Amino acid sequence: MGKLYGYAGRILRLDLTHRSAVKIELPYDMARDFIGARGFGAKILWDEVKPGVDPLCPENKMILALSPLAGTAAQSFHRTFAMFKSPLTCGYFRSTGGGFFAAEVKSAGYDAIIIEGRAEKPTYVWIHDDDIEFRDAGHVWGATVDGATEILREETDKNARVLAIGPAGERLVRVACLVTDDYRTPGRGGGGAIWGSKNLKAIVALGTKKPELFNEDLFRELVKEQIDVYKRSPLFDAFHSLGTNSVVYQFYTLGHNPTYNFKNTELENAEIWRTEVLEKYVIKHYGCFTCMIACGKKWKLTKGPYAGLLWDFPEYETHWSLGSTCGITNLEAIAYANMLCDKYGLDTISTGAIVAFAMELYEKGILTDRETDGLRLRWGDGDAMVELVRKIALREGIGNILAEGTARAAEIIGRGAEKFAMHSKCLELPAYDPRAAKAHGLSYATSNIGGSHMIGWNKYEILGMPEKVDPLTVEGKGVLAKRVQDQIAAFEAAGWCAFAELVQTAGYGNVEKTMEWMGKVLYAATGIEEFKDPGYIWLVGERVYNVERAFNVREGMTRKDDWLPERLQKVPFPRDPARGQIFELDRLLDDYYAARGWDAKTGVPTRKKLEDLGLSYVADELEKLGKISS
Amino acid sequence: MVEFLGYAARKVGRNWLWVEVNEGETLRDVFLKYLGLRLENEVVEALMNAFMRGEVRVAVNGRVVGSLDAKLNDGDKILVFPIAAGGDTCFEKMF
Ligand code: SF4
Repeated sequence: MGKLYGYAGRILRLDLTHRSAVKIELPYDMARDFIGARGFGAKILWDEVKPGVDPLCPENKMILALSPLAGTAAQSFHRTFAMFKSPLTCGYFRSTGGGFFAAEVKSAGYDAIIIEGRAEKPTYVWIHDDDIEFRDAGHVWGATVDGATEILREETDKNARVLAIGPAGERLVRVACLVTDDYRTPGRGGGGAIWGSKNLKAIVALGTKKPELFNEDLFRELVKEQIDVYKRSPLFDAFHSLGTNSVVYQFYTLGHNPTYNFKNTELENAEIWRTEVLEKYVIKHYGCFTCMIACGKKWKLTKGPYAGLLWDFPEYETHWSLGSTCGITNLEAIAYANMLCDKYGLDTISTGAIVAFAMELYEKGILTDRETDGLRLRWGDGDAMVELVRKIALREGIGNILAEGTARAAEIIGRGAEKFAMHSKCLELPAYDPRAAKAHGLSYATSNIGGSHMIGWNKYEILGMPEKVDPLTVEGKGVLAKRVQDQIAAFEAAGWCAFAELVQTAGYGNVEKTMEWMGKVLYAATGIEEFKDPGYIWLVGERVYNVERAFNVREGMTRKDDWLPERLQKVPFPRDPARGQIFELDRLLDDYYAARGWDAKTGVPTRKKLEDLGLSYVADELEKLGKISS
Repeated sequence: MVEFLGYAARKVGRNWLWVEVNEGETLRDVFLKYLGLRLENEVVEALMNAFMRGEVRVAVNGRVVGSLDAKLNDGDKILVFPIAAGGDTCFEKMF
């Protein structure tokens, strides 16, 4: 076992209860077996969070983890990955956001931060290289993310990077998120509520260290190759000029953008999402640390009641969640609500999906003006949506119930509301219709974090790349969903941005080349021999996926939790291209478990599968708990 | 109806075109025979080349097709779109 290059070589454990900060040497085995980022989070959560822990109690932990390439010249590997037991799903969660925070933490000398315990009063942590301070945050408690960020930078260092929560996280809103100083959000799953429960307002970081690389020349050559491939990729300029706004109308046309809370798939005036309309709002391009794709855009509104807004643009998902799934085509209202979500610290996907759920309940008479304090939640009303976002963030009136997320809110409201709660494992479904892309939908159902599009974003079905696969067929979709989930788990264990990976894969024309390149660059940076073998990187992806699954199994999840709402299983898709399609859950699950080598009855990984992945210790614990047989 | 998105629309100079096809004709016929009559040859060629390189996709009634040999029926909606649509540099690179 040699020296670890590339990595910072340390994990920082922040115990908020005792205000102690301990630096731990990064174990070589963990680096080799899990690479970093999502891989580290899965491993540490498995090791340290006991089953049955309340997600909002001090015993729950959040792991912020980075790529071994964070802070280097490699493109697009500088993301913050947050792993925790989710207050929404009560299971394993990973969320991720870009920006500059991760690179700064790496420069301060850490590959991961373990956050545990609960501070007695509002606190922020100031990490300045080796110096760690727990500071009072009473004066910024209640402040919006941008306000708090500005103040904390003033009292630490104006060049420091900040990850913070807003008022929604403080109020334990279950869809609250973490927000960086440049409004990149590890958004999903309620990570903001975890910080709120721990009285943690922010982490502020500044560092001066530089990682030492194993083979500088090889590394430089591989980064040069990456830049060349980005430049020749057919996706590069599209993402650079419009980010994910480049696909909104296109996906709508292909049937991937469900409307009216998945009740419909069409929307009058959807042409507002054509690129020639959206690009008119862009006034500035920006990106994350060392990423030439620079997919971030600043929008400026010059007319209507929200004129004057100058903020981060709404992403593809946000156009859907605060737009089409609420029947809203008022771009100005969508942009304004997007800004509110950033300021309050709310996940835009879940928040918009909750608004759509409430609008459908209002339409059906399950919610009335009495419950909404007179707020008329009519489909298509952008101003009502904006007001409801505010109420959810501040837990005001009906917002207090909706702040629990659709699944819990439906239970509280009763009267058949659960039929309209579009979630999987309590995580609100995002902007693709599972009936129109079966492997993609299968990933919604089986994802270890619930209804996420990122865990198994199926480029084969959605973009027809690197090979075209018919999105409507059922056959072979278990294998395809598994393949994509493992791929993404491997890329995310390396801490890579999913958009950037897509750009590189489109440039090479196949995933194998991308995986091979990634293995080589990881090797050049770290010196870990195993990384040279792309087969090994695939294996790490599958290993990570299985540890995450095992975490959920230990929490009591089984096949019954791999589920999608009745509307998607029973109601045929109403228009071309998927007219008449339903989501064939049971057939698809059987196929998927077979592809995974998991028990078909329970959806639990078998001992053999776990042992093949080098996870005997996971199998032993599951056996001890009676979850698997020997 | 043929609908163009993003750079494809910019290249063609419009968002929609209506063409009439005969029973059994294919997408290739639409490009070569019908679009060829309404658009400059250079434009049609550029679109077809971009399709071959996988940079432009074609969907019939919302389903992405793998080849221009797909047969068409009366009333089919054809969508011609870049794999993702962005700004000017992409436009230049693609066509
Ligand atoms: S592609 Fe966009 S989100 Fe990803 S790293 Fe680059 S700028 Fe950030």
